[in-house]
Parts: sequence; structure tokens; C-alpha cells
Amino acid sequence: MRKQLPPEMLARDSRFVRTSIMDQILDPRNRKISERTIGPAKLAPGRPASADRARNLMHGIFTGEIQALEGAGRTAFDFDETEAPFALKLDMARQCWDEARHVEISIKLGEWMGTEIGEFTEATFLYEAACAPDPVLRLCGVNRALEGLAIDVFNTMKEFGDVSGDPVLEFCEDWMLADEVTHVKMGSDWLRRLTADDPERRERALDFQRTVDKLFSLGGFRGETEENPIHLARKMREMAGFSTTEIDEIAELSELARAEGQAAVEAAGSA
Amino acid sequence: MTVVSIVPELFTLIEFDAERIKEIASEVAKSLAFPSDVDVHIEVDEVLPAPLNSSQADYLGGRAELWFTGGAFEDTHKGRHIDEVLARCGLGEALLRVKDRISGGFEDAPNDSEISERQRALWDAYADGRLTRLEGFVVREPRRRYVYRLECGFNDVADAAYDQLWASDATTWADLLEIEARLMEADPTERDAKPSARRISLRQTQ
Repeated sequence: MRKQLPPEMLARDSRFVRTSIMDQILDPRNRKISERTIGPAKLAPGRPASADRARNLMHGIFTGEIQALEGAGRTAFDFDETEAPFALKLDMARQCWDEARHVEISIKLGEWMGTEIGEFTEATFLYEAACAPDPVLRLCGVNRALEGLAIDVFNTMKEFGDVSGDPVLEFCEDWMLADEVTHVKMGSDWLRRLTADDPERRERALDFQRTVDKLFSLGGFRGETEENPIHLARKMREMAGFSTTEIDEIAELSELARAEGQAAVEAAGSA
Repeated sequence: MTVVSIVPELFTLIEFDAERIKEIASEVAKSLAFPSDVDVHIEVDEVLPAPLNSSQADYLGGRAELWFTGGAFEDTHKGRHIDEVLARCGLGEALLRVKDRISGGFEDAPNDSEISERQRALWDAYADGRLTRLEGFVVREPRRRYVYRLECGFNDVADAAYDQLWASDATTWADLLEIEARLMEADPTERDAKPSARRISLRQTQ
């Protein structure tokens, strides 16, 4: 079986349609939307089109879970035991089990919210972060950055379920959230162990994590104000082992990504 | 034959064809037996993409005034392009509600900019239920049920009211207000009385 599988070779049936993040960035409507006052972007009942926005986000979580499963599976397979110790592979296998369960939960939640598999497009940039050639980079990019983002997303959806009185959404998100906390801790633990004698490698991995954190905060997607659809879940992140300094850094990266996204929209509009 | 007009006549940000939307609207009006002496004016706000989906349907000055976000008709697989099945359904819901306003028991209903999200969810369930019983409309019932539950509550009373509306061919605005009162009793959670995703709020510029 091939090692280092590129995103375009991921197996999907005809229901799935791929999209490119560039199509979204270069959409000529972006600049016009930013001129509108359409209210806070935070997901809440009574906010503009909250049902369809929640359905769209839930489908994004579903495809993200598939890619997280594929990423952890690849990390268990792509490296020999000198690069990735057997105990790390066991942890990745255990994570695959969690992600497979999350995929099933997400499908059921999608049905509950009136969404069909493949109703929305799939972007593969989550899996792309799991294609790094060094397992430590994958642990930072996927387990610490993306599973950290999953904490923020699940916490936001759990709160949405709570305030909208949807017991199914709140319950399911809470269970998945608990798993994500363990995935982040797993990533932090293996980062320390694999780089104990190699500070340069650790710094490279943390740099990669910063890049991924910033990418996934693009255009203000994640942050700490009412303008951000996804809120930084400080308390849950602390439980996952992030320090206050690390969380502050993610908040700063998110703000920077928001400003850069805005600049990119304006540049695209004036081009 | 129903006279249909549209704004804009030329879309510049998205790949919608105004003439094609007018054709679909005419076909839909015919299949709903929409009064042929009532003109239909459609406005599509091309700035607002999916999933910012919203619409309004009013009967003003003897004319049907329909407003949609571009997202309401947008293909979820191919951004900026129209999904004609979705457009047909959206136009069907809107024209059915205008027909209700003209002579279907909703003559005294306030304009869409003044009704609450909950009232709108109830009315939409009633409209979609009727559309499913007509030929040529693909209504995504599970989506409608979720939007409804979000506004009307996740409880048995709300579900029973939904089934009642879905199966009905003769509900009035007064019936709708009676159902709303029943829902309030079952789930007294305070909700915004004002609509959130309507024409005025979404078209404001900074």
C-alpha cells in the first residue's frame, strides 16, 4: 500500500464534491458582504439564517472527522518504528476509533438537522495538514492545532444546541468534545517525548502548528468576539493542557488572520 | 398570464440568468394557479451567498413583491451558480404565501418584515407541506423540520403542530396565531419577536 497518500487520492463516493479554499477567498461577493451590516456572526438562534449556517458547519465537521480519521490512520501506517514508536501508533489507532465514531455521530446529527451527506462541498485542507513528512509536525498540525480547533467548534455547536433548546445537538457535541480534549493531550505528550533531545525539531513543529492555527482562523472564522462564528474555548483548551500563554497566542493569531483576510478581500476587490 | 419582472436584470457577482429566473417563476405561478392578473416582482440580492438564505413574500399595491438572498437559490456544490430545483421550490413557497395573503385566509397577516421568526416558521411549514403535494417541486422536508424546530421548539407539542400544518390545505393566519400560543405554553423560552434575516436588516450598509 502506498505511503504518504496525497489529498487527491482520498477515497470518496459520488456524493462528495471537492472545493478549493481559493474559490472561497476569490469570491467577488466577499468585499460587498464586508460592507454590509448583517449583525454578529456568532451562531445563535435568531441570528441571520442560523439554521442553514449550523447545517453547513455540521457538514464541515462531518467531512473534517473523515479526514481526521484518514490522517490518524496515515500516521499509524506511513512511518516505521524508528520514526514513530509503536506506542504512538497505538495512540493513533485509538484516535482512529474515536474519529470513526465521530463520523457516525456526525452523520446522525446531519440527518437530525435535515442535511444529506454531500449536500455541501468538502475542502481537504484538514487532511493536507496530516501529510507532513515528519510525524511530529503531524502531531502539532493535526492533534494540537486542528483538534484544538475542533474543541472550539464543538464547544460553539454545544452552546448553540443549548441556547436553541436542541438536546440532541448539545449532547452529541459534548461527547465528541470530551474525545477532542484527549486527542490534544495525546499530541502534546508525544511532542514532548519525541523532541525531548531535539529542540530544533520541536520548534519546527510548533512553527507548523502556528501556521495551521492561523490558516484555520482565516478571515476571522475563529476568535473571541461576537463577529467570530467560532469562539475560542479557553476553559476546554486549558483542560486539554494548553497554557494561558499558548491560548493568548492563538487569540493573537486569529486576530492577525482576520486582518489579513480582510486585506486579501480588499486587494481582490481592487484588482 | 402572470407578468414577472426581476431586479437586477443582469447579475454581475454571480452566474444567475435573470431571464431564466423569470421563466421559472412563470412556470411556478402557473402550476400554483397563482392569480394571472397579479404581477410578480422579484428582487434577488446577489451579494448574500449561501448559507445566508432568506426570503420575503408580500402583496403590496396589488403586486406580489418577492425578495431573496442569492444564497436562497445557490447551488451548494457550485458556488455562484443557480440550483434551479432550489429556485423553483423557493419561488413556489413565496408565491404560495402571496396567494395566501390575497385570498387564502392570510389577508390580515402583517408584512414579512413584521412577523416573527416563529410565525414565519409555522407559515413555511404550511406552505412546504402543500408544495410537496403538487407535482414538480422537490421540497427538502428534513431541512424544513429542523428550521421549524429551531424556531418553534424541540418538543412533542411543536412536532404535533408541524405535522398538522404540513398536512393542512386550509390554515388561516388566525389558526397560525392559535398554534403559536400553544407553542408558547409548551416552551416559554423567550425568543426575539423581530425577524432577524430579512430584507431590511441584510441590505444595510455600514
